[in-house]
Amino acid sequence: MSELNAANLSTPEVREDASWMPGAKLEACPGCKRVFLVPAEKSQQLCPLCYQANLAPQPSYIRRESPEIVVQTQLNSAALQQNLESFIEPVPYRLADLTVENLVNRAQLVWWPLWLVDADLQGNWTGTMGFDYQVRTAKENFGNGGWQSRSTLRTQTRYEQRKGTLNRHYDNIKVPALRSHQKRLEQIGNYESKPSLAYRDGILGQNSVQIPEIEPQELLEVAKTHLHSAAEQEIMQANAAQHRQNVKFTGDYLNPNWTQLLMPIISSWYKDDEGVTHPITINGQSGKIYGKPLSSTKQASRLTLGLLAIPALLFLALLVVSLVAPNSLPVDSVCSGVILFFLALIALIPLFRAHQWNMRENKIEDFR
Amino acid sequence: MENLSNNDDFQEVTSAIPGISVFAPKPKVDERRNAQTYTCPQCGGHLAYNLVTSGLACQYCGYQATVQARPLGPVAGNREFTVDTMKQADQGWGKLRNLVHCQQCGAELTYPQGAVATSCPYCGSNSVNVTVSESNLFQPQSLLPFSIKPDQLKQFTQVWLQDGWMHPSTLGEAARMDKFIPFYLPYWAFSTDISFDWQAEVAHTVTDRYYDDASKSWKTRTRIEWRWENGSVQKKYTNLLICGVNPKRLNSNILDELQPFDMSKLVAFNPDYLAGINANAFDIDLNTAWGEAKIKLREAARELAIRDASNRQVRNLTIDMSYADENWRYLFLPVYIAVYLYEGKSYQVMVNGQTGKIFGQKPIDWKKVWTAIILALAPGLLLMLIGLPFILLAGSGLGVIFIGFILLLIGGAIGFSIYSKATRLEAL
Repeated sequence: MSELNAANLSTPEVREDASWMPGAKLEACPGCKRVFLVPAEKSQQLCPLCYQANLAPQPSYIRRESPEIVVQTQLNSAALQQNLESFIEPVPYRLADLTVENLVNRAQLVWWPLWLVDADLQGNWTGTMGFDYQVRTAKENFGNGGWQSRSTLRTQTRYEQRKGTLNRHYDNIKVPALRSHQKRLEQIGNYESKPSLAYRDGILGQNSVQIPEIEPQELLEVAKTHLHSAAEQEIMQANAAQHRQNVKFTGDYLNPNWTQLLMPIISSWYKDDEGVTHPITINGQSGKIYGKPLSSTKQASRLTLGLLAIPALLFLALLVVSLVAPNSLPVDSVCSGVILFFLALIALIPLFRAHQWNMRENKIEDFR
Repeated sequence: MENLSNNDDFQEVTSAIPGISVFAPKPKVDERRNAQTYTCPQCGGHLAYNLVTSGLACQYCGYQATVQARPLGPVAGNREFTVDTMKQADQGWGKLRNLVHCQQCGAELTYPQGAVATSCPYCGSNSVNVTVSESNLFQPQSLLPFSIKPDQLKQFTQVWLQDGWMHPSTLGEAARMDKFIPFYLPYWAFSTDISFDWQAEVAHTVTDRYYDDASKSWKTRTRIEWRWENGSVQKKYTNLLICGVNPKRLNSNILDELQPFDMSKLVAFNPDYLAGINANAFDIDLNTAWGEAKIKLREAARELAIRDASNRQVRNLTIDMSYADENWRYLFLPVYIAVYLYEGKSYQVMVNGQTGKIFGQKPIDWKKVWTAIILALAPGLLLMLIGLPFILLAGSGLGVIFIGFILLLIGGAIGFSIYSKATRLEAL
């Protein structure tokens, strides 16, 4: 019987490829430092997540075993187009490159990892369990000189000390494999465990797979915390309780088994006026989009210049008229100056709006 | 893995998931209080609780034993209005267990209905049986021991009988109150938080100026302006007492006057306190008592809402009230009860066994009352009678009549107050 500790974990090997994905090579992005298992046909192309640099071969730690479970993507082409349309629709003075068509054409699937740990928990537990119960109470109303009483029930919780033994097997307890796991979930939303399929050859298609950044050796305490949470939930159910507090487990975490779950991301990109590439990332299951859809400041500037031309031309016309026939001016000079000033201000609106939009969008954190 | 087995504190309970065993604290021992007979360990005589020594005493050999008092806080042992509790309360007492085997002489005793302490008619031994109900839920959990000694009662009674001018002058000498019976009365003590929002039109006196066309001048007038006001009030009530004895058996007006009791002196129930002392279980069940308490709380809420308004004169008052943290206790409180005869009629008197506060029925001497009312009205009437001939004969004396009228009004108010008090005291 092996325990959940570093001694019982196989040492990951530094390799250039993985036996479970024939032809694929390990490559890293010099920009974002992420490591991917890349199919031959996508080798040394732009990083599929940051799009800032081309991937370069880089031997890395990788486990021999294939992933165990693959979460299926549920996003079809129509749904993807609709989501992208909603995403870019509010952008003022949209960039020429930021179109649904471009984003769909450039879209590619990327798999990202999550550790799954199985273990047996054997030991003793103590905790405080909360049991809901109902008390009879009343709502009273006074009006028109009399009281009306209505009997109601109120739910209260009674907490009691409990203890016991635990001898349970826990399967597929999720443990983050990336340092940015939580942040990534905040950005693109959570994944449901189902629908998912057991890993088999070819299930990942010709798509890149991001490689875990944290190895199980570093995750022992985190894994124990997650296993403890699963056990806590079951202990509460065993007690037929509705709440729990201060559940403590003292015992062994035995027969650990580490595997991987892969989740789908759809990534795409567009270029801004300066030719800088901006990634757009989509949760492959829910379709939630994360990215910065920027405005075209060039387009806004052109519009502003066009609009500024109107007061400029009017000013010139007024100047000419005042010089040629000073007495035939339709409005006095102060009034015309005010009107021209306001027209000039109005002309600045497109530029101002695009600038404000981009300022707001640039505050959004990069995809992690 | 530690081997958990049933020990003193925990016992294994059903687990809903295989592979997880669950141990819960053992439920508190359901104290089935069997009837207890009190006999002297020295001479076999009858033991009874002695109110003078505050312990058990044998009236034959002088044996004395102290009673274990376990003080409780003023709100200890509160129970909630859980659905189960209320279901049990709705079902009443269940099967009554009022047949008790006398441990002294072996006789089968039948307790009078509702009594929890009695004496064996054959051997005279005192016994206590609070297990008149199958449900332990409705057995007393605490009581307030008697603090007032029986020898203090004569003094209290004499002072009380001679107090007040509305009663016959001979009451103090004629009334015979020889025997005060110590009684533990069942009480329901309720505690709750109430919170409510109120809304009402509140009267505001407004003074304004207007131009009077008739007198062609500016005048001021005051009028009532009704303005909507609202507010929120929260209040905690602790130990709101409702006596569990049927008001047909004991005068509830007198009982109400005996309050307050100092609930911080509550002790855990111990049948020793009841040995040889009368004690009755409740006639008024929990639901009925809580209903009575709620009537009091509603009135209190209405008064609080009016007090919260900027003026007590309100109309269209509405209140939305809810309760929180409601709980109840069933306990015994000490009262001395006596009945005295005066001119062939019996009157009930009670003394708070903890504080000595005395209250009860006293005959009203209506001659005295009417004399006082006439005396209150007399100055006003006399002045008006004096003023009337002056008006008729000399056309003056309006001032005297006016003063007489004012005095008559004052006298009328005093007379009405005297009459009300007298009728209230007589109705006790």
